[in-house]
Amino acid sequence: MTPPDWRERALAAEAALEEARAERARLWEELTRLQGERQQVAQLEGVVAHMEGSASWRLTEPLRAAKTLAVRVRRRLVQ
Amino acid sequence: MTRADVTVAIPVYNGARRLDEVLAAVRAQRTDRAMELLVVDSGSTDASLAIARAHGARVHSIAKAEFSHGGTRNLAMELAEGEHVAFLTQDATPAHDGWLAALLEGFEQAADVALVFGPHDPRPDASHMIKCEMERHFATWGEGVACDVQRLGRSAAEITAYRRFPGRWTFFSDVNGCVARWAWRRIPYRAVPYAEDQLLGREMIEAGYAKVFHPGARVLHSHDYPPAQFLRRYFDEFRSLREVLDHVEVAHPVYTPLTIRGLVGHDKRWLQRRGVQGRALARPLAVSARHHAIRQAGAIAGTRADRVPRRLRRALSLEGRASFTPFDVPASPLLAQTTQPDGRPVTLSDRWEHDFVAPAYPRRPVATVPHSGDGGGPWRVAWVVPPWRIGSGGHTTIFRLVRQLELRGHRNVVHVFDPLGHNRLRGSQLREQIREHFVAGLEAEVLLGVEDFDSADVAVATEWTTAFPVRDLPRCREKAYLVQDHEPEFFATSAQSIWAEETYRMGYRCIAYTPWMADVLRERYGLEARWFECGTDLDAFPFAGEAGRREELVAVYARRETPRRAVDLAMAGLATLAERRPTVRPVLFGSRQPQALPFAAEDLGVVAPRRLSELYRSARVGVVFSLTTHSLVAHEMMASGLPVVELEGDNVGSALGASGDLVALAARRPDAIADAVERLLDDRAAAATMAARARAFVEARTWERAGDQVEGALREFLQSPREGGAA
Repeated sequence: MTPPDWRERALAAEAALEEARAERARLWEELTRLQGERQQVAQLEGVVAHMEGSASWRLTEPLRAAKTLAVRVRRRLVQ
Repeated sequence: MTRADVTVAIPVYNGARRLDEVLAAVRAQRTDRAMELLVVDSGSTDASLAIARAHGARVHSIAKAEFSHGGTRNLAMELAEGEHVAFLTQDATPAHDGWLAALLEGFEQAADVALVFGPHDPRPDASHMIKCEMERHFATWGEGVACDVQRLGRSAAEITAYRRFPGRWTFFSDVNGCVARWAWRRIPYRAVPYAEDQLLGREMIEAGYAKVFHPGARVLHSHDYPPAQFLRRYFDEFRSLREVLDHVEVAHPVYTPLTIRGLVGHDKRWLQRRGVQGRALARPLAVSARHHAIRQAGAIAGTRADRVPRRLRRALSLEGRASFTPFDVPASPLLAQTTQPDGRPVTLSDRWEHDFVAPAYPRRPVATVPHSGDGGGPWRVAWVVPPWRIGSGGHTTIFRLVRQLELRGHRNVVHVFDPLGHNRLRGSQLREQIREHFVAGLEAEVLLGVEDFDSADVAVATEWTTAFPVRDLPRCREKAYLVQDHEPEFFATSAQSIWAEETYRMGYRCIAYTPWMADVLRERYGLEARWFECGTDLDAFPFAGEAGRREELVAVYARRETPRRAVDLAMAGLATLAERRPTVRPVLFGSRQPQALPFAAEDLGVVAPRRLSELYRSARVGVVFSLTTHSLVAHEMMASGLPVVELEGDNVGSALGASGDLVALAARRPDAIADAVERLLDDRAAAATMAARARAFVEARTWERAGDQVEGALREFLQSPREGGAA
């Protein structure tokens, strides 16, 4: 088999390089998206922790517990 | 006889119950250091002395009355031969034969380690509350499983955190702790009745020394008492915390029950992790509730012992102590508040707005990685921008350029650098804001801060504050500086003007808005600079001819918030004009500040582009001044067919032509301004010709062209790598 002409090889190499560059850029974009989501998760976790640590949340916890219990009892009665 | 390297010292008084077990465990320690065992007995009447001697301890006896927690340990330090003295109590048993080695290893964590302490494992017969409490307590350091070095930091954040929760740093227990002799020589134990170890920990930390928690230095040690004795024990402990650390336990009708509930919750989860579930939890949790209620009562009363009558204090104390003697710890230079009798300490803040400046020195060039000069795309471009307000013109330009690069296939990310903490929104919300109020369809991710920065082909600073963090970002092939204006001129002679100018000495390659700005960067600062020109939103600012324009109406950009718009110079010109021509009707816009003027005028304030477009299409003349880079408001007026009066100067001349064909150029004098406006009001034909030429001028300057200019500049930068570019 005749080895391909150097021009062809150069073109193929350039095409591969372009493909690699595009893939690198795509992966980088994916990485920044993940970083954005990670930041968002961290911030939301902070909001939840702040809310759950607040006196009002803890003070009203019995109400939520009562509601959960009521729902559970109602479900059992329905069953 | 060989002198000991390390001493294990144990103060003893009638400790026969566990002393044999403790001393046997000490003797079993595996260490290559010569160890001495020292017992300081304060008049035991049980078998303690015999047990100590049987284990080969050096025994030193003192009278019972001579005993004090701090004084007796100082005596032990004096008697000890070792350079490190490990303290145990008579009921604290090393949990394994590597206990001493672990304590000594703690000193190897840093050269300035004065104290090392280890965790206490509860004895098997301890209650679940005690087990849970001890587990949680020692998890404070290194999660309970890793070495943790505590040292008082110098930053405002660290000092504030220390003031808020000092125990995280100061806690030291000589039930199971080791003291370095060199540190003790400088800071010995204080002669306090109790909590001598807490005081020593505090003084060492505040003197700037390090303290280490070593999870391997475990001892078996716990106390369990009947409820009434627990109350008295906690009274003693918390009285000491008040005396030594000035801690006052919160007593509040809501928060105190919540605290007890929280502690019971910890116990519940601890029990559940050990398989106790359902009804089986009821009894232990009832015991927990009682225990923690007693604990809080002891804590509240103990930390308010100064208000408790002396006789009651004695009755409440397990050790029968009636005194309350707060110890005044000498002020630490690390925590210095004031030196002047009339001085007030400044508020410590961990959010100083110019925090990014100090670490930027000594001067260094922008950091880039060496590369081959490959300009092929798609590029990864990181834009670092300051926080914005909706409507910000500078940000509109940046985001339009980001979008232009996106449309050319490049990948972008926007980092918001916000040292002042103005922003309250998440990255995703900021991205939506950009899409809604600045540039529809923008795809770039928006990240807060530059902490998550990974790498980029090009990192772009967009304003002087952002130039500081961008300079040091790692893994970038190139760093560019998008300079929209000569920012040192935004400030009076000040630190800010110095720092803004400093950014031009960092070695950035610049992309300037307007050829004038590029010339300033080249000629004044010797920088490599390309330029671009902004486009105008022709859909938002459609052209209108003569018809429909109202007589004598002059639209005036009067944004007082930006001094470079020379608003008072414009007002002086209009005042001159109003005297000559009382019929003139100036309409001001662009400012939230109230205007008080010596002539009749009306003020729209800050209004939406649609309303501005209406004004530009109905006015006869527009006045907009720029002392640095010219304003985009001029472009929008020109697009709308409104003849514009600007100030003379290279900044305007190089961008809008020095001939006055596109805009009327007025000298920087009130009479010249009045003349220029009056000429346009009177000579309608000349004004219409100028308006037509101006419209053609802005039509040629599209955002696509700006995108090409910026992309071209970046390609040139990438294709000409810096010599010796270094990370």
